[in-house]
Amino acid sequence: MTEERQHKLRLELRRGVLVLAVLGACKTPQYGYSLRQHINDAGIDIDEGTLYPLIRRLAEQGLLDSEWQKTDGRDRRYYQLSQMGSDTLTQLTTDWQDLNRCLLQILGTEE
Amino acid sequence: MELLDRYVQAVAHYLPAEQKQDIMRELRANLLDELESLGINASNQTDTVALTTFLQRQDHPQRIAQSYAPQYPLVASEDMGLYKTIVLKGLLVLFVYAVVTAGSYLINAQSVNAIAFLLVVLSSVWDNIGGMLIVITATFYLLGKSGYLAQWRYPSWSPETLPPANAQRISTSDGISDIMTSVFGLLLLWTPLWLNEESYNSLILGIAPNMEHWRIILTIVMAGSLIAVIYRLTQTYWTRWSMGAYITEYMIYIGVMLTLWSLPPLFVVNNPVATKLTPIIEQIFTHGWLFSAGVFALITASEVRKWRKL
Repeated sequence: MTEERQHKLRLELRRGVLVLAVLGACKTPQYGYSLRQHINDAGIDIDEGTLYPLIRRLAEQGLLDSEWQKTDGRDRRYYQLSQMGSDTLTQLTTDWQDLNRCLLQILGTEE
Repeated sequence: MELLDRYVQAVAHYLPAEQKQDIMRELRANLLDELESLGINASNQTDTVALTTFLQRQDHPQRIAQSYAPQYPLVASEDMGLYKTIVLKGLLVLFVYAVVTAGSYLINAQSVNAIAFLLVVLSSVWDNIGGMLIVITATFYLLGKSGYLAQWRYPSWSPETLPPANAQRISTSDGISDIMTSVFGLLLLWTPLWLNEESYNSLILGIAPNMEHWRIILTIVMAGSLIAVIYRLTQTYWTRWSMGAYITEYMIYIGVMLTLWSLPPLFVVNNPVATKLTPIIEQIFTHGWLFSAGVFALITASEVRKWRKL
């Protein structure tokens, strides 16, 4: 398999998980760059071209609340989990854990 | 800072008006944070090279705009099946309209020129195809964007209503050429009705006076063919019944041709200027009926093989 095809498959695999990662990271208020750092520090490499539009989409869907604040003399838009986002995160976390358990069983790597 | 603002403006160019200011503000704030983390000061002239490299590393402004505010495609990929079906049906309507236009053109021009008939059909389709595609595409865009298309995307179905595994599709292009042949044939048969006396008398060929009843017989056969082909164009797959009728139609044509081959000439030279052509034309028609019947017999045999597989 070509490197490019493998890269695409990995992107597809991560796409759904990124939503969960962003919602999880937005339990505390985050602006774009701080959120990227937070996720990167946790070991998930995400580029700005993917993350920033994704946050806006989640906010448009009502999963995140947002407000502009002035910090260090600069305007920044802060995002935080809304009530709907919090409920969704709980549900998605359960789904993720179930899915992960199933996958570990299928892949034969369950302890 | 000028380079950064130019980049943000370039992105804004591709954004919808209602979201432009908000996305620009957020994009600018995000880019400034990214620059700060890299130790690049957008306002500092000495950092211009680093700023250029940073902006180059970002995506093309149009792609950034698309990721922030995705634009609805003219035709969504899930609607392509329906789109192709509608375009094909539209083409069919255009062809039928073109055949009618070409027929009326011949009547107005008082001509029986087959090439002119074909050219009028093609030019009529060519003139209207662009408009048709624009109308269909615009309708798909508007209905798709507002969500109305979803209900027509996949018509209701059940396993019982699916075509049989050995189903054969009815060829639309064959149907169109059959319509053109029938309409042109009927126009030729009835030249006395629509050609003025002068034009009619200038025609080289005409039906022999003792064979006038064949005008009615051939009209019935051709009109039957025209009705049958119009019906077939409304169907997608052949059935044993419809293909059987199609084969019968061919056999009638073969019978007609063989009968005409055995009878005195159907067409005679009317125009005194062309009387010296009479022996050649008689030869052409005598052999022509037999040759055509042979070709039709081959087609019929091929259709019978298909019919047996249904």
